Amino acid sequence: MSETPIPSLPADPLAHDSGVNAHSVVPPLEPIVTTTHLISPKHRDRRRFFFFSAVLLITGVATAVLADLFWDKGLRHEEVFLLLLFAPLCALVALGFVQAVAGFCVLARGHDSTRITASMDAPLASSSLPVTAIVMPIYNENVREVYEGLRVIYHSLERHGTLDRFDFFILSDSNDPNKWIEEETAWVDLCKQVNGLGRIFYRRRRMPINRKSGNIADFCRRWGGRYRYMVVLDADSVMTASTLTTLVSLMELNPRVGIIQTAPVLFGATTPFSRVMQFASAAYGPVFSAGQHFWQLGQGNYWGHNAIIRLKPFIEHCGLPDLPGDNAPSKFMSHDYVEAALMTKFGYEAWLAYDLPGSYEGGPPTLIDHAKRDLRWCRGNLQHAWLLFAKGFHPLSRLHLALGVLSYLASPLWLLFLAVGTVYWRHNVHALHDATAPGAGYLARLGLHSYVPFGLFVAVIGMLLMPKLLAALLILRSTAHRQRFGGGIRLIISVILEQTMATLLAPVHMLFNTSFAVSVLCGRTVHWTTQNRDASGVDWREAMLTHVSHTLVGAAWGILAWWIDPFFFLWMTPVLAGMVLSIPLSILLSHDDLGSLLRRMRLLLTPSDTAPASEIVEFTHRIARYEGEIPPPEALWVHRGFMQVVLDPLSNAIHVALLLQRGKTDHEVGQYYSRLVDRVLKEGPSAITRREQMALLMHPRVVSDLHQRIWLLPDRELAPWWRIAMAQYNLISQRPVHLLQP
Amino acid sequence: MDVSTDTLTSFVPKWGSPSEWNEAYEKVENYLRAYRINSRLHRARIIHGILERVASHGPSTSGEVLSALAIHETQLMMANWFHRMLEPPVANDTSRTREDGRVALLLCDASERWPYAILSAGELPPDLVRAMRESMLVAGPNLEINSMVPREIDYGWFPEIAGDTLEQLERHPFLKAIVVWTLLLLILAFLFYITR
Repeated sequence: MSETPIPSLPADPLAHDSGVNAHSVVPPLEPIVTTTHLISPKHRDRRRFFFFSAVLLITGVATAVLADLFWDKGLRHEEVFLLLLFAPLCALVALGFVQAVAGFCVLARGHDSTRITASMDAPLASSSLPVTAIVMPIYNENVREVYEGLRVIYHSLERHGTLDRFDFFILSDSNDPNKWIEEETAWVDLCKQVNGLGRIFYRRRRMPINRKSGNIADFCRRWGGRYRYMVVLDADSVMTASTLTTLVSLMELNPRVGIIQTAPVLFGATTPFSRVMQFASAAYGPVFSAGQHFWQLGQGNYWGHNAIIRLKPFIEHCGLPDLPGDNAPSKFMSHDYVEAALMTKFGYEAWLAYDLPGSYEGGPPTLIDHAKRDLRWCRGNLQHAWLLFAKGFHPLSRLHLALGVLSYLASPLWLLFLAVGTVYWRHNVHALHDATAPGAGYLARLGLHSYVPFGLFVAVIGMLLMPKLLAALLILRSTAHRQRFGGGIRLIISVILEQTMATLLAPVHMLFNTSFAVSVLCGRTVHWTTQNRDASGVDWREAMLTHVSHTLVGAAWGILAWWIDPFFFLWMTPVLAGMVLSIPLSILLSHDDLGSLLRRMRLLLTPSDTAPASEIVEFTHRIARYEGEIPPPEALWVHRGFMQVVLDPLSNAIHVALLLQRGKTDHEVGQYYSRLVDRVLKEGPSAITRREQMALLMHPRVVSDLHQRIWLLPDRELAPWWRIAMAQYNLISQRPVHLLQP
Repeated sequence: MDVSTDTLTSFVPKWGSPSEWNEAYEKVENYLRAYRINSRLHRARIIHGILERVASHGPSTSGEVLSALAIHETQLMMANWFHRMLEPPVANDTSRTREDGRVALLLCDASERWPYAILSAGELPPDLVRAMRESMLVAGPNLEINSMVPREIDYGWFPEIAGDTLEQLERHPFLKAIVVWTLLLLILAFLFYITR
């Protein structure tokens, strides 16, 4: 495989860094100990050649067999169309299969000298590590989970003795007043509780330009010169100290490496849906990750979080431009793949540290939440089509981008394949049974025509199932590992359970992704019903409104299939069952109670349940402490952030101090603000929009004056809402209810 | 604060109605609770002192209601107390001192660690003074500005063609509709054709 020539780098990549000043926390550079010579170019190219040859061979053979099955003195147009759809879909399945087999072989052998972690015997001494920034971009997240996750990482580093090697940055783009104030209050709380002032920093951008990538770029512009590396976390990420220090050590030892991506494991699943996802991630994830690494090596990918990045080249090369188009330029919504491609383009490697434990993330709790996340990713990934022919990109970077696009286009392609297949069955299936006439395909002439369709079906299903079986086999080999999944029998039951769920849910995902892809391509926006979720999961209204189209499609397709041929209906049952049952499935899989029952039955267990890292134990324990808290009355809770910053003298002062620290001038209050303030005082916060609330909260003088006036005005001049709020504030809990628990 | 055993008779306001004094009491209590002064005993002592001072000043000539006078008095006491505590270099920057004082109060957990010291007229606990003076809010380290500008990507030939087409379509909605309908008809025609 041809490769973009890697420009020769200086032995010390930061030697010419004029942006690092004498007061920087980046220590003076020492000679590089080693570089990345984990695999020779010849060996690497040979490995990739065999890998992609295997994918091509499987795809070619399967497509040829299907073509032979169709053959009758030639191919009809619909058969050509089916083959054109089948080939790329089969290639995707084959890629996953070969990847899993490669991963299985690597893990079964127990030794892989090409791992990035193999470049290091032990992490470097903490004193020789540069101070690294841990950045967490957030946007209207669950504040407690974000800060408790940070607390856990902070404690882990403290115990490890490497706390002084890391600074924390919470980078907020939240545009919900409640979240904004909660974040500020929680930041102060956390800093007080862990003595983290001066080590944990908070910044909220006034304008969330370019979303997450803009937020990271903003950090890079402000503080990027202080640090050599940054570890990017997601709002639900947890990483252990040992993993963090290992990542920094690996970067120090490998100056050509620009990104090291860890393979985060899901944790904290409570609903059956998330437990299925967590089980799949823990049981099958290692095989797939090892397989990915097998062919990606130094031209890997970046998944946007739980990764370490070399800042200098990132700042230099990864400022993302607008997407093509002169009218209303748009930005990349999914930046991570592009950033990895750019780093690779400019000679830096991106590795997947698939064997590095201690990297965790949360997953979506319900099918509907999963679909919402897919919608975001779909938009971002489809944008990458613009980059497929960009100049100078490494071929593997193009492949990553293409696979990202295909992962969402695969759904409409599968749907089209099944739809055309249904029509084909109606008109031509009997021709297949009579395929012994002269001019029929080769396999038919051998008398195999009645076995081939089933054989092909088994082969494709086998390629989908085999990776899971191989992963299960790896777990079963080791007694200790087996026990972490609940024991051998329960592991097998869990695999069957997971496969059943995956089979039922796959057609629903297909319909979801098809509608997303079509909407994105047509430039339409997909609207969701308002969530109404409590401990009992997704409610019927939300599920029905979301899945009614899936149920109708499944039912109509089922009737059509039965009308065409009852035998065909049987073939289609696995696909149609998930669609028809999507409403009850979505509800059932969102219930915490059922998730707890599965856990009590020791099914779908993972090592993060049975042998969790101390960080996970601490996180779970801390989050559990918030259960059962009594929130204020709903009417107050809706505007809790605004209420707190206006009523509470301490929160008010913190908010004003943060606004002033950002260099905002405490300028005079204009008429626009005065009118808003009058309305808020006389009619309550509901009288103004969320945007207007945000406008008020961004003005230090207004915030300060609001606090003064609310307490000085006689009760009769205040809205009843304020009178209730004043009487209730801190009454039950003696402190604002959404503070962090010490 | 001087609290004698006969507090029930020591403070009887000479002006204002009982309901006005009730409202003032309630307002000041709410305000102090917002400061997280959770000791009821201490809170009651402070309120008593504040209301006594308001009573001694007499009714407002500018027509301010009693509760507003009480809150005003509370804020004045707070400002003086912060001034004593922090000894700011700029003596007349009252609003800044007030905000710094509140931030320091929160950061050093004064209301929990020294529950009876807040607004106390007596000698200030030295460790409270030290803790408050050392409390400083740092939202971010010193800036080290970098230039991270968008770098042009040569997207190659694809966006040239696709982008121009899409832009044309965006500019002409009627043309866009025609294209979409044509595609739809082509798909239907194709499906019709392949099923013959």
